[in-house]
Amino acid sequence: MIDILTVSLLGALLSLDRTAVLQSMIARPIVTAPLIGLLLGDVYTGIVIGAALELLWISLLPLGAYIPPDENLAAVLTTSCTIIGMRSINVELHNAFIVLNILFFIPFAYFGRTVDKYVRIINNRLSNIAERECDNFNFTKVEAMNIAGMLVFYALNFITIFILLSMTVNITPAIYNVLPVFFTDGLEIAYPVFLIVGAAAALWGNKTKNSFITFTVSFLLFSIILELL
Amino acid sequence: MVVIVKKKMSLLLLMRVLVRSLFIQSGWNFKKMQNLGFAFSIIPALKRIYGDKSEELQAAVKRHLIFYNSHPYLSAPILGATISLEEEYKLTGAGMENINIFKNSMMGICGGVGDTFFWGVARPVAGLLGVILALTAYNIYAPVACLVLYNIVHLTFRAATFFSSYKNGTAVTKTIMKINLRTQTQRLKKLEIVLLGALLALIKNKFVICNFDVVTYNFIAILLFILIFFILYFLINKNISPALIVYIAVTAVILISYIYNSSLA
Repeated sequence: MIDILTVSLLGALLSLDRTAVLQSMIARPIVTAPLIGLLLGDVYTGIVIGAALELLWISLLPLGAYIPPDENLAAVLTTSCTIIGMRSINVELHNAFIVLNILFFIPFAYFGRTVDKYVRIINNRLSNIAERECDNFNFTKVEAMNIAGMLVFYALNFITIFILLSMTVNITPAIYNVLPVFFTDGLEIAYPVFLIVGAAAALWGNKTKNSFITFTVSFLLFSIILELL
Repeated sequence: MVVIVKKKMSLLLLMRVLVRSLFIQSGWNFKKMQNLGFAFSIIPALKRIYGDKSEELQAAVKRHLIFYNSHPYLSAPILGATISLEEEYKLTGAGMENINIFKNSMMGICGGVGDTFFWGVARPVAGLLGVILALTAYNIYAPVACLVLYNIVHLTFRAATFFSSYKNGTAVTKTIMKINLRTQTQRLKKLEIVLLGALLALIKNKFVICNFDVVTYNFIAILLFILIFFILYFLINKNISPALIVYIAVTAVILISYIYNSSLA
């Protein structure tokens, strides 16, 4: 479908922000998922999915040569499959379908990490070419190698999203249709799990001396404030 | 902008280098990491210093195609200071080794400090603000707020450190790096923990709907809090990935739903 093509084009572009250009949080789920949602006509689903995925891997820092799980790929695949899926079947429990998709696509983030690794391995060749061209006084080619690296990032991410999307877009609606009632009821109320685990992961990543106390006090304070509002 | 007499860089040229530094990781490779990006960024400046096609230019470009890996944002101050050093080398004819010694020594410091501040606290705080907004009535602004707040810090940092380190050379770069970011990191960490408390309170407020009286409601709130503690404990002690914990928790919720539904039937 045409949607798969446009999602792949935009998704690969957004994934450039993850490593190749800027790194300005455009490639984070909280921004990518709503943008994909905007492309497909349903921003709110995108925001719901983005908020769920945002904090899960936030403490896995890209230090040195370490590549964290590709949250951008997971966000793009989840959002597009959810919105496309909701067009094809009749979904009564909105959140349940969203949760099902998020659960289905979380493992793909780990696959995305492998794709990223292959891009970087391909870029080794570009580095070799650049050094050769420098010896030949072709400095424009040296500069071009950097841009070529960006194009490799784009191309591989485009192919990955396109192929994965084509393969998986019909799976989650089919699964949803055969789920028993208690299952979908459970999924419906399970959405906060992502947020709570994400908050726990963020707190664990940045614990300081009195962090638990500060956290508890803040939690109780805000609970009271929200109660009074 | 300041144009000091002995320096050859115009504002326009410096802006070109700064914009190019946004692509510092475009050619990231395992062999020499950010070398392509660094060379790509600094070549306009080198051409201005050494001319368009000379042996000196070739030596300079070769100098900057060696291994380079640091935090992407902190490529800005390192680039600024390196351009300044290259100008000095052209002017005085001495100090060529200093250029790479400087780069190598700054790589480690800048990487560590940048990683802790930007990836460690700034990004989580911005993401956290986005998630918090997504739970309120203003959820449409969540991605916008997150992007704007983060990038005001990010882009100002890059521009300010770049021009400052070009003007002041190597010495000031080191002090700027050490002093500013460490204190900001501590402050932001505290803010993050407070925001996490707010997030949990919002989650409780939005998703836990009780028809009970206030006491039971607060009891559930404490239960939620204990749940987080439990998850934290798991994460810390057993090094289980948050993704796996999500699956376990959702399974638990579905189990509860099963028990509830079969008790109804």
